[in-house]
Amino acid sequence: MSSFFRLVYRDIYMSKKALLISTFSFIAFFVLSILIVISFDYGNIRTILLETVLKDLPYADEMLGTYKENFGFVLKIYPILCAGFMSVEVAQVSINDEKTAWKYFYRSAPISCRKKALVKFFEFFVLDILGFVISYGYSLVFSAVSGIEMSRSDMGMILMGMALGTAIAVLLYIFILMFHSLEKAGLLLVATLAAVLICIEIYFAFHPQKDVSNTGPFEALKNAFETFGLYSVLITAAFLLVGFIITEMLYKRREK
Amino acid sequence: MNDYENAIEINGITKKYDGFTLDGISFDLPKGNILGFIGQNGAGKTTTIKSILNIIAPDSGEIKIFGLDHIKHENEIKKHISAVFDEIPFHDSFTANAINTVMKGMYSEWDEKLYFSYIEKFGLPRKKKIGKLSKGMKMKLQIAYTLSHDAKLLIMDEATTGLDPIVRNEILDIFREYLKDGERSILMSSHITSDIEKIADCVAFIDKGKMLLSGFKDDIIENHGIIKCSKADFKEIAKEDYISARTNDFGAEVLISDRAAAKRKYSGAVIEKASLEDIMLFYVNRDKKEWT
Repeated sequence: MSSFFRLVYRDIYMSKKALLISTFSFIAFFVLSILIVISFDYGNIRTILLETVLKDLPYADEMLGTYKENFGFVLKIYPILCAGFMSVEVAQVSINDEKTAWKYFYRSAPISCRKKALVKFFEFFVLDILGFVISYGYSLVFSAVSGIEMSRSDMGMILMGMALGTAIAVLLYIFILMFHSLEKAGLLLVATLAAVLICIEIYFAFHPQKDVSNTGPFEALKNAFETFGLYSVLITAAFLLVGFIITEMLYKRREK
Repeated sequence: MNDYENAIEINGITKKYDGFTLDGISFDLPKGNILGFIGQNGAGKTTTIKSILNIIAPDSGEIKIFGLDHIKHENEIKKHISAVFDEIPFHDSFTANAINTVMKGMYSEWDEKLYFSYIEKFGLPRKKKIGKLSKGMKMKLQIAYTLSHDAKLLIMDEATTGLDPIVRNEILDIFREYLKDGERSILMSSHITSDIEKIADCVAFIDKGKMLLSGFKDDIIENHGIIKCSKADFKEIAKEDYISARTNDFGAEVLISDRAAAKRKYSGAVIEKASLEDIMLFYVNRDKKEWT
């Protein structure tokens, strides 16, 4: 095994507990979401809706189908985010490194800064792909069980989950390298995300929208995923590439 | 690797922080020797070591390792050095087996057989997590992998601090064995002067960021001495002839840095050998001149 993969092994070895917890978390929400969507067809959710909100309404069955489709869409968000955020485990490893003498030992070892950065971003990339495969597989299973066809907005959601996970993971990792402190890195990450959210809200508040008179909130959400999903691959690639360049520079930087 | 005389050459290293300055640190570690780098906590030992390992950038000065500039030839140098810290750099979840897997990739000279022979020699479990090992066992594990890739220079920063005397003795014996071929060198920083006195060939003493003494240990100890005298006799000793003096109601202990000259000038005085600990203690109080 080459030195590159041994360093990857080292990080994976450290994250195995966290990755296991993420996996169980994903499985739990996977199972929960499947059970809930089945309940729309055969379970208590169907019974409750038909006897309360949809009682005596014409087209109750069709409306139940719409409820199922919309709620099912929202149900999928958490497991997909869980899978998309797997790459955050790489940043978690660096938090542990800051607490031990590893960061000094690593600097005394004959490994170039480029290799160190490549190891990390290889891990980000692999976990992104793994997250994508898991999310896509989950969506296929969900679709098969629920009878709801996979749509472009589903793919958009998967890609956005991957992009968001990558962005947060790369930013957190870079901030930890910059400040050598989880508290400062966390604060800066929260501030950055808040700034991005504010920009998005300003965009939606003032950017001219298409005629939305016939569009409900679920449709709007699906449209958003479909639109932004296309850009997500570019966002992911950009974070990986720019993050790699910045990380290599930070590894070269010596302590003040 | 090229032929070289000194494993480490440090010349005029200066580094300024708020409230502390590493001021013109210079010393050499001749090949095949152990240099004890001593000083109080906060004297500047770790800052100097970090400069050597290129972890921090000094404001000025020059560092050569194996006769090579430590920045220009950084990767080449690092293939042949190994750093030992006061705590093991691997996460608590690692085992000796897992460390072997990682280290194989980091050093081309990694000797797995030698590593596991040290593991067996130290009585360390291969599959037990580091988090469950005692401090002494963790240090032995660190030593095991440090000595397993034929490093020509070991840099140890407070590696024996917090260990019991038996474990410290074992580790010092291992280092003596490691240096037998004359091609390897050790820089060992510590405030435990008894360890340095047992094992070091050379000593560099730093205090408040300044290099006070450096040279061969035996020469330093030979040159220094403690005059034990009464208070009345102490008044006869000129201030420029001693480093500092510890006084009490019964008399004084006076550290002198030139035993031969002191014997000639104060012929009746009883001059005893000073240990490294004594030398360090008296030098640290040099500004006060007289202390209790």
